[in-house]
Amino acid sequence: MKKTALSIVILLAWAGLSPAQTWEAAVAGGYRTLKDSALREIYGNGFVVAPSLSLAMSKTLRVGAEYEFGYSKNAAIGMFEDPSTLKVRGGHLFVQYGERSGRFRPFIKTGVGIFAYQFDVRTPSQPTVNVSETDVSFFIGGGVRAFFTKRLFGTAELKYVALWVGSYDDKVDLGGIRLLLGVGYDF
Amino acid sequence: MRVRISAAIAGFAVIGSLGFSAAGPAGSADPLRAVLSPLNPAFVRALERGDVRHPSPQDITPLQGLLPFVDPTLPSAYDLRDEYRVTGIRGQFPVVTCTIFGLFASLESTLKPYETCDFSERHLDGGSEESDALEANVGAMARWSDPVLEDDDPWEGGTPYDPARPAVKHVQKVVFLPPRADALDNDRIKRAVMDRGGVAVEMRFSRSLLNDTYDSYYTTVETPDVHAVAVIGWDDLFAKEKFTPRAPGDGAFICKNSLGGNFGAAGYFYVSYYDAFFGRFSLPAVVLAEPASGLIENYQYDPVGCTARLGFSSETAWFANQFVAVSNDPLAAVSFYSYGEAGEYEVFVYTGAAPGLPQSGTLAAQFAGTLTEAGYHTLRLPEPVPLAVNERFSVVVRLRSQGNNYPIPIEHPVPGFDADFNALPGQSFISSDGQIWSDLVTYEGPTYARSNVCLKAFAGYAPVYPPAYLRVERLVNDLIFYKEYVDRLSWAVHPSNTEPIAAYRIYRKEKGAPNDSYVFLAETGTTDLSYYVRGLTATSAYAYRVTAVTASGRESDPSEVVD
Repeated sequence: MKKTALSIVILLAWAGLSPAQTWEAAVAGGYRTLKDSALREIYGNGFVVAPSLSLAMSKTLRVGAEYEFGYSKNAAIGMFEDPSTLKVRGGHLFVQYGERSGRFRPFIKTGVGIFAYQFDVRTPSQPTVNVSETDVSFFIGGGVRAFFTKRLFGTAELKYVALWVGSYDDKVDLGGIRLLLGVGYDF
Repeated sequence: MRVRISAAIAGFAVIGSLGFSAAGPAGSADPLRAVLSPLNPAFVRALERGDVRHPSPQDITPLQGLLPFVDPTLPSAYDLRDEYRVTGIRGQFPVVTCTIFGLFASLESTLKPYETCDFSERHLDGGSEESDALEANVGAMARWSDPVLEDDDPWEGGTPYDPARPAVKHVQKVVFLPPRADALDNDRIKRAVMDRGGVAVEMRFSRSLLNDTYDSYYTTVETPDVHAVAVIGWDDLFAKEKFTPRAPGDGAFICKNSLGGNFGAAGYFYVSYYDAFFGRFSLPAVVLAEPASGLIENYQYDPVGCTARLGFSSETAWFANQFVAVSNDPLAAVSFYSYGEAGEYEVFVYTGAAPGLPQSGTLAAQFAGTLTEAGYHTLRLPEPVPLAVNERFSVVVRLRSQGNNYPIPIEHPVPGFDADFNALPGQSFISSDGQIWSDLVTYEGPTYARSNVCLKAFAGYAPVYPPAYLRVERLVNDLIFYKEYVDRLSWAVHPSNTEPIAAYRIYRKEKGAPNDSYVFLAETGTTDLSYYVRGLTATSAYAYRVTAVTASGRESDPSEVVD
């Protein structure tokens, strides 16, 4: 996984040196689900914001990075319904393949990254339970970019993000599906 | 020495110039002579034969040959185990002291289902002056030396007898049932089992007579060994063919033995109604206790127990004890033994009494009532009588004991009792009519020089019963990323409390630690009868105690969970 990430970074750096390439900046936001059913029952699904920056490597291939944040939920947990907070955020490096011309440009993308999650439970009778960890995540998805002008576009994207993290006695998936809408600019 | 004190001169006696050495008017000796009850023939026979175990020395003839008690409402089968009113099977090896196992089986059963206790037979064995004898064991419990918890003095590996260890319950009532007159005279035992709990019963026993197929027992042969068990149920339809030899008829008591779980049916066995000795030669007994937190001062001169009785050839007699208060706690109850199936009593309490004059001073309380069973009775005073430290007070009892010409219970040296009998002048008094009193120690020369009347007085308050049905459950609080282990304690209100409970206190110790390492954990209100101990790990192992606290701040005995 680390090798893959490193390869993408090198590719991105190499591509960035080439004057023929173009940069795109976008920001998207939307709905995300929480895959783990137990956690979803407690904290529910939510909304995230995901700014990104990508670079065209060829007519059909782009590489980029995006950061996702905004999922921070408070809820009562456990048999005593103690107040608790679950916060998930992190970034991916990705490779995107898609049409380079036309008003509507569908694409698919995949990537890997590092996500951080924080979980704390505030109990009256013992020290607060506080879990703050990071773990590797990957995603796969696709969507369409609709260009309003030559450079300004809107984007709609559906992706599945996997984020398997260790719980007390098993793994839970803090990932889920994202349905994002956004705008971007092709420099 | 004879002392005459009449109601007319009682008021003058407080001056104190009339010590017990200043006997009443000349010629005032009690015209009737007190006679000592005969020894139980079975006890004498055991002594003569040199038996290892002896039955009770008490004359039980007033309770023998009574008309059978028939209760048509009794079911044909009953088992206290179905009611969760029996504690676990114990093993009496390597020491043979089955009487105390039988009595504790009864006591532990009568405390159920509200409380589950495991009492130390070893401690009672050390505290009883003659641990084979019912009266000596009852005596040790009635003097509040026992029971203590098994944890504090375990049967195996226990410590030397510690007389200073306080009883965790106060035995204030022991019912003596009449011996069974015949094979069908079983309803008294059955009724006692249903209403009270396990009944301690003596029998003739030999392990070789057990029918291992049906775990049944029946004998007509007087084996040398006297054994004690606890009746915890019965089955009228238990077939006679299941006994070896075959019994004359169907029916068996279900008995809890003290020979470990490998004996019989997991420690239990069936004894035929037709067994020739089961409950026939001694008094079946039911032991009942109340919290140690109620009555807190025990005034007594009979630490050994009631070993004999006196009488004036009449069912009625008077007896009295004088005590000196050691605290300001009010006098709340008195106790004595009776050996008649029925009886009538009248109790008088005098405060500010003069030495040696039982009916002197101020008549502070007087009440009367009836007894419907034999045994050790504690009678509550209608109102507590205030006492002051160093104040001398008298408890005087007139007792009519039906069919019993020896109504005065006394502690008296009997052969075979290796006990330290002690008495002093000015402690115990007897009278045939309540007019002419004799100091027992000097009655008939040295005969009763070491004898005292078994009449106790108790200072204290209403008992505060501990929480009932205490349970501990280990729960896991699943916090996804963290598992919190939780002990949930739950209990119920004890129905016997007369004073409102204002709070409950929770104590805990690490499992296996000594009982004096319990520490206070929390106090809760009365709305939610449960408590969660949080923040535990998978390896945390604690034992808990919960007490009830009244609005006046009095704390009950602890309830605890016995594994």
